[in-house]
Amino acid sequence: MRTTKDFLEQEHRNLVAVLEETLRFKYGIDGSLEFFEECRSRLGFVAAELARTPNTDIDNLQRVGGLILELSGLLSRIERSSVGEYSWPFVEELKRIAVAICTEATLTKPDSPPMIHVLSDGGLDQYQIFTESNRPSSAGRRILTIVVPRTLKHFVLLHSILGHEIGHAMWQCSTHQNALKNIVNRHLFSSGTFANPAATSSWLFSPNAPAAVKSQLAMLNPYGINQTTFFNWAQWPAWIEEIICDLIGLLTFGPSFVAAEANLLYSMNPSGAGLGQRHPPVGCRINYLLTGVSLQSFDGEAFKDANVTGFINSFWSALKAKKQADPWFDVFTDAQLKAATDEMSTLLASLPPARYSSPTETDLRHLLEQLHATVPPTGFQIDGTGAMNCRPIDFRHTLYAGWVVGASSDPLAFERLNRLCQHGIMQQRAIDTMSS
Amino acid sequence: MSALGKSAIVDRLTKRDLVVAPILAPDQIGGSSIDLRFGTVVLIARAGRQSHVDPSAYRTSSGHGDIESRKQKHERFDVPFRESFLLHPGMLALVPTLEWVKIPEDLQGIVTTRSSWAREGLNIATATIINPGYVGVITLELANFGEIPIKLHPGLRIAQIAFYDLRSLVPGTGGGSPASQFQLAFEPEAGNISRSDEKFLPKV
Repeated sequence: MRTTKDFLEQEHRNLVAVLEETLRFKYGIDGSLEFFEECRSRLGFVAAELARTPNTDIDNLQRVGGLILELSGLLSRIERSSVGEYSWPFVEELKRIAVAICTEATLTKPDSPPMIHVLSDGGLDQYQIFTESNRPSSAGRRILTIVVPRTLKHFVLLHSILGHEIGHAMWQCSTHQNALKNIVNRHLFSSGTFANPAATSSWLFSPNAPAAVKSQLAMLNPYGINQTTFFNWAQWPAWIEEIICDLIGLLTFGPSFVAAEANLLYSMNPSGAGLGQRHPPVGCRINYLLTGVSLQSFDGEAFKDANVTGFINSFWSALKAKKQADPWFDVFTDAQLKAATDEMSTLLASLPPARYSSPTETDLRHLLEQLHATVPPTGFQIDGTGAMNCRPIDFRHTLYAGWVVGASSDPLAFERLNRLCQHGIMQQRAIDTMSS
Repeated sequence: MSALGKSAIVDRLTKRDLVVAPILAPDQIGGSSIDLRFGTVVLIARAGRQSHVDPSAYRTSSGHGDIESRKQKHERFDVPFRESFLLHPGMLALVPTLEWVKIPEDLQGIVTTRSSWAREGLNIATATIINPGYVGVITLELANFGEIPIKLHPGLRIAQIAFYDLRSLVPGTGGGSPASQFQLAFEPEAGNISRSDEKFLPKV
């Protein structure tokens, strides 16, 4: 009869073979060396642990078994991680933000950047960034796995929602968690609707809650879920984390994040009443984001050009129309949101290029003109005298321009608009490479 | 039909009715042409997938076999900047230009290999004419006519496009050509070699 240790040793050998098989695939723009070496080092640690663990040490065998399972999960994703499976130009830009936010102290280095792995999987609801919560002691770096939906490979405008997922990575990163907690606890979660689970339950079950919310809560009632027990079912800390991540998304990606979140969340929950065990109602999320947009003046750029102003106004009118009119959905006061987003913004500003800043009128006009002319938007320009110049463009401004044009064009052209923006981000990398 | 010189090309680019973007270096515009760079995708026919090229296979069909045949005909590679791709002797590869191109209705583009690369054996096999009204990346059908593999990196200048004014050929006219099947292409794709010629194929 095979023992537990025999079985784990066999699975370890299987994993070594699987790791070698992953080199059949090209995963990651910088090649597979770093990921391969990190996994090999972890497998070495597992082998050493198994060698020193007697069959009778059930606790350690269980711990090592857990490490093996985590590694096998990671390796099984490689086949869906080829560069051609996702929009690599977008992911490369996203990585710069993730590295700035998630660099942390490890045993080997005081400032270890995360190792970022990208996976193409599933559909609309698959946007995620997995952060390793536990690493084997041999691990040099934390592995972040960015998941982009396979069906939305070219839809870079929607990819802005990864700003929210960056928030999860930041929240779980040891470097910034305390600072973030300090900000949000003081400004958002010490008073009002989200002061504590009881206050939130009271708001949810209040008589003036929208009918759609009441009907959803009524469906939970047969399972014993009511105002008192609601947060035995739903996870209060997860709700709080979702709110924080929404605000980080707003501050890292700006208008394109809000547009992506509003479109994606309402596509899955048109009423805005949808809530879950891990997130508050969609409508209140969109409402505090749209309030945050104004408080951070992302919608208040003063442009001289009437055309640019017209396009921008149309975009914001269309987006703000998604705000829930019922004041029940406004869960924070303007003062709360302003104080929290200002302090979070200052924190992100210390981690360049993490914080979003608004484009200049010149840049935005140029990007809009290109998109309207069916040309991928970049920093390349020929002026009236025939002089050519190439300048840097923040990919978040490209995405903003894409959403602005999308608000005024045929919805069927949305795919083409995404392709143009994706192509523009790729071409901008060429411009940046040339000038580096 | 007259060729456009450098000043005429710059003039049309400035007016923005002709678009070749981005142009990363001033010397990319030559005396009568603009250099084009290798883009970031490569499409290669998979040897062994098909016994021969059959126009009948391109007949419009949405059946499993036809879709499978079309989809498995080529292997697609993304090649990010600073990475490379080896073009072996005898190999045919479809690659996009880095540049996005818009040709106005009164111009025609002619694409050729840059002579420095041609001397190494690199050849742009076919499809040198870019019709008036075309919008998108240009697909280059690259072949290696030499005897040793050629290493190519995205961003390298490998081709050039010259422009011809069609108004001088037929005064007052130009353009009006039917839409190309490759219009608004973002990357290479296989063409339909029997499009509009189905009547010449055996009946099914």
